[in-house]
Amino acid sequence: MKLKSFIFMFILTVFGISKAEINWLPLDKAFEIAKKENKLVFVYIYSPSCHYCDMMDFKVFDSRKVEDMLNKQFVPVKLRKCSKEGIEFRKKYGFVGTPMFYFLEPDGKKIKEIFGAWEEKDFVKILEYFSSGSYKTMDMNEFFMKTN
Amino acid sequence: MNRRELLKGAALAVSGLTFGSSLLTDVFAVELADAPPPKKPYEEALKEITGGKAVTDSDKVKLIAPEIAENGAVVPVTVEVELPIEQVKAIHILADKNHNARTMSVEFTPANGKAYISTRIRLAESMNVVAIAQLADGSFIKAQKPVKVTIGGCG
Repeated sequence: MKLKSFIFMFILTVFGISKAEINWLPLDKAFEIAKKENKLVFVYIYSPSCHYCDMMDFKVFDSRKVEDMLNKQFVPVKLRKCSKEGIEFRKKYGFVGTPMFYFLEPDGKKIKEIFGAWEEKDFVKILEYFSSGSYKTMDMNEFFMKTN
Repeated sequence: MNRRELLKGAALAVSGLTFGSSLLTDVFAVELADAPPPKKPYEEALKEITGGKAVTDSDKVKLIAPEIAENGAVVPVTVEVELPIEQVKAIHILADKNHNARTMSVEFTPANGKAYISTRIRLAESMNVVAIAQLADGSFIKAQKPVKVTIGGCG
């Protein structure tokens, strides 16, 4: 019985707990880094009381693939909806609800905001639309029509 | 009638109108709450269109819709039937998990020139969008595509 428990705990530790860590940066530093590294700024607005934000945190941002994409191809920022920065950001860029994702140019110009939680594989495709630069030539619906 | 009576009458009329209109609004609201829009599941909607006839998959029906829609309230959908217009009677669009799956039906005449429609539809969740072409010989052909929308969010 002890051996079974040990094996179960070992499997849970090795395979069940993701070590994905996104390097969330403060908003003021993000644009500075984005300019230097020529990357887009990705801003995630969340609320601690939002079930769908928990879903994103535990199922999507916990994924190695999402972690890798956000850390390497974007400058990620996470803001609490009701923090001072969150309120100012929402005033400037608009807001529908949580979770909300914004894709911004290094100079702060908004490319697009996307509302709601997504499954991991779909969120990866959304990130690819921005990281590939496709947003420059076609809108998101057009991009996903071409992936038929 | 003196000025005072005229003002009293006008005040009564205005308050009557306000009360009456709010009462009417309330009545309509209650009626709407009592009778929500009718539910029409996919199978029922399909039967309504085809009368129970078989619908076969066909590459003649070109259905263009995004794999992932950025906004489920306005999902762009385009359908074209690659057959002479004389052979196409109608195009029907269904969304298989919507409250009312029958989303739209468009009938054609040879004057339309081409069996082609482009529109925006609302999807309540991720689901299949189905385009059915009703042909002049009484048969039905279709194409379908899964479209994903956000799982949900907090307002």
